[in-house]
Amino acid sequence: MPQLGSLATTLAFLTAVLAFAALAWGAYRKDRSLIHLGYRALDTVFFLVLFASALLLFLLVSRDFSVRYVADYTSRDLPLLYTISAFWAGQAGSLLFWELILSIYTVLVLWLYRKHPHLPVISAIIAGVHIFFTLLLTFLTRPFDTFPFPPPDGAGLNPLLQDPAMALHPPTLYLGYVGFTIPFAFAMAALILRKADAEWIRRTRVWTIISWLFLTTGIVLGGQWAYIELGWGGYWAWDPVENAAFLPWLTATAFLHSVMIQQAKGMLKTWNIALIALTFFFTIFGTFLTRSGVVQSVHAFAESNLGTYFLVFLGIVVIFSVYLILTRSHLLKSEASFEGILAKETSFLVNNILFLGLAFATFWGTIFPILSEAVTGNKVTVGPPFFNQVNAPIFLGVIILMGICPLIAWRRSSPGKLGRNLLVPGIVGLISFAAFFLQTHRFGVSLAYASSVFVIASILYDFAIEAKVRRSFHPEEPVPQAIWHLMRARSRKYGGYLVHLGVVIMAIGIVASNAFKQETTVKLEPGEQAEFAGFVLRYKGIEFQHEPGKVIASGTLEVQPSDHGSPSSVPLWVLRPAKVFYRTADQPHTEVDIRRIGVDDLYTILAGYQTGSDKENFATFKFLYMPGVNLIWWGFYVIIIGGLFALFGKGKPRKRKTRRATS
Amino acid sequence: MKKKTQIWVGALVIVAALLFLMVTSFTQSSVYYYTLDELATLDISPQQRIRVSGQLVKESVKYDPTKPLLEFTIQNSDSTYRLNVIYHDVMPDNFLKSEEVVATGYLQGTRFEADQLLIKCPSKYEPEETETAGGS
Repeated sequence: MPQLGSLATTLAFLTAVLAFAALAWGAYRKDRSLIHLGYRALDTVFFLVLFASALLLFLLVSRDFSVRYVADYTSRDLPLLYTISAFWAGQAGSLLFWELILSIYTVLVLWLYRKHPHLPVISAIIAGVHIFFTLLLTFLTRPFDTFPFPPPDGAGLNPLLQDPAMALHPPTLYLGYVGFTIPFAFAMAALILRKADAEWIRRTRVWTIISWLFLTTGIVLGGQWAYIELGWGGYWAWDPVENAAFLPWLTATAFLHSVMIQQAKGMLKTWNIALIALTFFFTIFGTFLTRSGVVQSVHAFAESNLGTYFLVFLGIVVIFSVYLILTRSHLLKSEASFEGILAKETSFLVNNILFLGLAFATFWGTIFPILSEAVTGNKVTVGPPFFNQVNAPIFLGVIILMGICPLIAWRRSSPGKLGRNLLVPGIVGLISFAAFFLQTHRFGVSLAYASSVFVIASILYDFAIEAKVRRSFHPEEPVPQAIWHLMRARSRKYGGYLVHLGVVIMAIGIVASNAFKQETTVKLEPGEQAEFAGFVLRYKGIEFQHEPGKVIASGTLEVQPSDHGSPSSVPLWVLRPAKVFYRTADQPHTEVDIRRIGVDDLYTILAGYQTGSDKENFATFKFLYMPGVNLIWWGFYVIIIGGLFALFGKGKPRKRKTRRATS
Repeated sequence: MKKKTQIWVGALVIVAALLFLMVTSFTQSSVYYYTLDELATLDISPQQRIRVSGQLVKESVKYDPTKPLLEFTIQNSDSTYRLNVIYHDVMPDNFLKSEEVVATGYLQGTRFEADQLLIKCPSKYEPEETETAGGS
């Protein structure tokens, strides 16, 4: 049966080659029957990949250990959810999963845009991407390789990967990554066909936003997983693979903003094409970083020869995009020019410079070890301090810009008008800066907080003004209803503001949890207690719990506020950080216990324990207090709501060359 | 045209500021990465933060969970050079399974004071991470 899987991937590769050839040649010769053949070939690729995926899933769930992939990533006592998630836990399976998503997207594109005149060229480009991934699956990382003699049980899934966030993190990330293939293909097809208007941007807006939302979700889930599962109380470490997901996110965010200028004013055409090409490049580059073993990373797959193939493919992507942009540059002339320095256009331009600055610094820091070794022979690495020092001020700039954006008009704004708009939010920001600084005595932190307050104030101010205008036309509407109508009518604008609001909430959480984190390590005997961050934690002893495939040893802690009650009173909470001994792993896995207190977290880790007689009976704990860390997750929910609102709301995009007064 | 020049000048000023930020942060936070063989031939000051990688000698691992304190030895590929590493923190999960260890910290005479460990596991997609307060 696994042989059927290998057969399916091989056939998928051959069919993808056929599809590419038929579509490229058919589009060039305008041969309808060839083009039709190409479409059907792409459909066939979809069915073959779907079959292969279903087969792999079946082999995993039926635990057919004659298949190497199944034996490597599952075991008999692995729960069903994680047996399914083993599909994307390993190299070969995750590449098949990637190809599956691309196949689904491809048939969606073929159906949704069936009347689109560029479809032959678009699908030829997509077929090219299919060739690359099916080639890897057929010749290099084969998910259906078998053992001659199947082992009695599998090696099991790494305990760290047995977490709901980790089961979801790769699929969401891939849904985002792969999604950018579609706008990229549309942009390149528009260039090939010399149709350089904003049509491709309008048609692919839904793909861009959904991919961006998935990418955001994937990144946040990854952080959440690290926070819960890795047991050091962090959620982001500027690891190369984290950066690999962050890079396309940054360029995609820049793209989301700069396309608005092209749609409104017909400017920045080359820039937008370059940005989407760069985003696509980074999605492949990210996969390359993870798979090739060129960088030292906590997430890296074992070193493999996949790297060379990815480099060749990346080279093709670069040459293809650069060639098209250069040869078509005369078509990409701006239809308008900047009319004033103090205009919304300029703020978008600054936004783009800042986001590309973030991307460049992150890219540079990530690949510098490789570059320095190649050039000087010495490997020089830069750690989190570099990324924090560079990116934190840039992000601060981004946040301040988010506050200015709603207050500044399109085309031209006079200093006086901007000043009047800035007055209220600006004063709120300054007052909050003074308040934060008096309380914390920390300049950077207060600046970050105050900028966030400034953004919130400026968004609310914009709401207030627009609601007032609306109420002067519709005095019968109560305020909430007026705001709702307003948001519905301009869903793109207000969806965007909601996203900004979410980002700011997230930023406050990130700053607070980094700047005011407390931690301590204590050794406690049963009955002893420790004071930490305003709490008393009393250690009661170790409890053992036997479950299928694992034994859990948890250290019981009774917690209560230190200013509250006598030692004998009933504890507020009981926390059970643990060590879990999996049958398939030769070392225990640390399971933290986290108690949410408002927006903060009390985070407890069982570092070690002994259960001998008297003096040998103790446990070592690590306690962390993470202020505001939950704001990161809450901000994320606001971002998703805002994104969906912008996408599915009824509002129409701003028409070109309309003045603000008429909109 | 004048407006366009203004925009360009503004953009260049921002780009220059970003580059300045990058260069200064870079010189402050770059860390040299050595293999054990290279380390043997070099004279490294105890103040210089470096990163070192080597194979974990499994028998050498000593862990005292009460402090917590982790001590171990790493060696180069032909076992001709060894280095003792100490790490004042909780032993990372899967540490004993790892083959190669990348330690960041300071060389103090014959031993290495690590504040950050990175573990490379054989042949599988296995994320491992450990960070301490000093690491980030």
